Amino acid sequence: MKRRLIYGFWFLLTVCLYFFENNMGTRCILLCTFLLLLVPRLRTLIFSPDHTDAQAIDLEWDSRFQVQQEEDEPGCVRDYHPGDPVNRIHWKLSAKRNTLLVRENEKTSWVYENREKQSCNRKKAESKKWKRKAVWICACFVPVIMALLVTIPAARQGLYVLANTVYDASEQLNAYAYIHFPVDMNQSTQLTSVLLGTLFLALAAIACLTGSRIFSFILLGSFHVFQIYFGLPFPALANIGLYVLFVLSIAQRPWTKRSIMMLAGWSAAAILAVLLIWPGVHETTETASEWVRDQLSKMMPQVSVEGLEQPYGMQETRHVHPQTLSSGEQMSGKDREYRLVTIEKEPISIPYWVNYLKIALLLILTAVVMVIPFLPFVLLDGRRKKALQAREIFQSEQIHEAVQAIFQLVVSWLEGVNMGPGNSLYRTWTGHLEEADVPEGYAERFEECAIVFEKAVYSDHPISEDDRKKALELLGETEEIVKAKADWKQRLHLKYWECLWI
Amino acid sequence: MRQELEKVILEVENVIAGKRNVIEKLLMALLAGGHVLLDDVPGVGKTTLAVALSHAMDLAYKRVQFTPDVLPSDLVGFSMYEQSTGKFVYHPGVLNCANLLLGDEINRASNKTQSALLEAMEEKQVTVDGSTYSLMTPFLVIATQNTVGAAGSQFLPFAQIDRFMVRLSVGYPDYDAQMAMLRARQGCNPEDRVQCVMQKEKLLSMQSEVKHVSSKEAILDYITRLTIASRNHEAVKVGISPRGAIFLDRMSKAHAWMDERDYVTGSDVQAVFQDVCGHRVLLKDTSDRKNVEEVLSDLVRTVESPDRRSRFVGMWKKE
Repeated sequence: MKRRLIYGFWFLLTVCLYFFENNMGTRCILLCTFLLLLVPRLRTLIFSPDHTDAQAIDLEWDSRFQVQQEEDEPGCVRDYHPGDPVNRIHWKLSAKRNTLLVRENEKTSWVYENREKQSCNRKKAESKKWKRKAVWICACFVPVIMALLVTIPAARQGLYVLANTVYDASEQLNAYAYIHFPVDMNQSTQLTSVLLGTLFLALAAIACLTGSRIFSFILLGSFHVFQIYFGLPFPALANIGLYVLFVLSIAQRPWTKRSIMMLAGWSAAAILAVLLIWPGVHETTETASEWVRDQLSKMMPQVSVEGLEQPYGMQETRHVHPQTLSSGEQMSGKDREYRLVTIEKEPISIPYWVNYLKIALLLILTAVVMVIPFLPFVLLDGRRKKALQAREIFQSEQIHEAVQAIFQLVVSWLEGVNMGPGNSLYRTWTGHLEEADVPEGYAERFEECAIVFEKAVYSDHPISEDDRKKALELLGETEEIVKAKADWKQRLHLKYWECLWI
Repeated sequence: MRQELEKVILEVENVIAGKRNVIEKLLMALLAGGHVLLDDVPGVGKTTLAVALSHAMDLAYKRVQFTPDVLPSDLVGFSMYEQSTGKFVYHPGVLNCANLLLGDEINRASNKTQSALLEAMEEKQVTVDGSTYSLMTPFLVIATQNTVGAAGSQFLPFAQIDRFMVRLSVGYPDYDAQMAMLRARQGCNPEDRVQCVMQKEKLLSMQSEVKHVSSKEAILDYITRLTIASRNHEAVKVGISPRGAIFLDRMSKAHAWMDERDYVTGSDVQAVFQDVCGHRVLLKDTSDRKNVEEVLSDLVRTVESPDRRSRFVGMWKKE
């Protein structure tokens, strides 16, 4: 719940800043932080043992396997009643039991057929697991690369140039189309646009309903080509809708809480990406594409270029379809016009409190960033306090409690390195410990302490100081064993307890 | 193991070799004041066991061979008109003068005879013609029942089975035990050579000691969780009754006492769980793969053990 709130807050923050903040850098930082926030969520989605798809498939496989096993059991047969079809009689079992038995399970034969498929499924699940890991590794690169793209000036400039080449190409294509394909300007485009719209809607519907990823990619790609080809980028909102549609279409079915969450996360990321990447043509790009317009004007002298004298940056330049401009004029099919129209940009009035809001948000952001490196220390201190508290209990007058606490710590350590046999009585651990790689006599000492522990828990008998000493010795010994076996994480965990012996 | 009981066990083992576990369980039930149902194939020594035990402990031993025509009055006694005094005089039945009653093949008795046993087993008293007579103490019923060749027999009602504290099965002896048994029977009947090694009064004092063994909250909690889990188990139709929980507690106390402790631990409960609850659980589908033993060991495995449950509050929360 908390995490969702954070996501929502961050998302709103980003949207707000998008409207009031034109600085590319700030936007990118926001995107990166959002992605970073998303990372742990993604990791749990990918690696959480009870959530992964591979696991689900495994489970499914197991249940199928069980069906197949049970099928041989008498559980799936029942007594023959008059009227049952003869071909359902389980002759083999009937002969064994000396009464007529009828197969009850309809799925039986299906299971037999699918037995071979199951092993195939298992392999698939295995490969899927690896695929997911690979996805996760690749996902790590995304925020890093995005941040690099934004922070390194050269890379940023390169980005503009790349965008520019794309626009170049689109304009050239545009010009080529205007020159080589005669257009009847009187023809209404309504019918075509309706048809095209319906076509795309149908395609989108197919993509959504079938969940075919390749299809969705093609659809998305065609939209982009369409936009670039006609040099008429859709407004950002339309693109957002497009991306949402895209994500919807590739999302997993059936709808579960998890898939919806994932969907929301991805669409948020997509929306952010669109907002950041699609803020309109940057000034640099715009200046750079002047060259194209020059070429165009050279090629077609009849194209009148307006407003080129005015300095760029103050105006927004748009390509306008000749038809919309010259609808009043009578033009023949061969006369084509290509114009640039400059529209005065109205200054946006930003309310004064937005600045304060910005400052406040930035302060919060900084505070969060500042706190993160110190978090381990804060946590460590908490552990330390816990350990000190434990030490107090270990030395307390209440020997009953002390022995219980010590022994439980021993047990929890052993369990930490997978040396405990799970849910069982501690007294029965001895055999298990003997099999494990422990020093000579450890298992016996453990059993002794387990008996003392039982005495402490289940009776009011006095417990001697000696017993406590023994328990503490056992604790020390256990620490050595556990240290030798623990991985780095567990060793870090043990570190917290070291202040016990200081 | 307590010295006195060790002697008794040794005496009984002279007759039935290699069945120490069953003898111990039988003694535990006796100490806990419960009744025993021996459930096994014929000829493995159910009767011999009961006889030897009664001899070794100086108990008044009576035996009823149940058949369909044994009547309730044979068990609880009856009142008969006496001409000389002109009054009804109560003639005690077999229950009234037995410490240890062996009900052989109890599943052959008719329903009304079986139900005549109910009051005797539960309240340790019998009521005939409105007057109540209390039975001898200690009073222990060992009923046997054959699992094969039960043709023409009545199934024991579930309500009556529930009244037995434990259900034990003797089982076939292994090679050594059977050889020893054959050797012992070469001269005379070893049952006659069983010596009385313990007095009845001693048994009574032991019983009261067993009653004072302490079961802490954690143990009661464990028993309760076990029984509730048995009722909620997917394969179980009828779970362990509250009476079963009480018997489990009493039997665990006896087990702890035998182990020379005066407090019950989780291991006591687990040790007697199968025997106390095996006959109290009805499974849903008889053709199910699981049998009762599997279900019970499943419960022991899944229900959190009291050792782990007693995690010291306030220091380590479960993570």
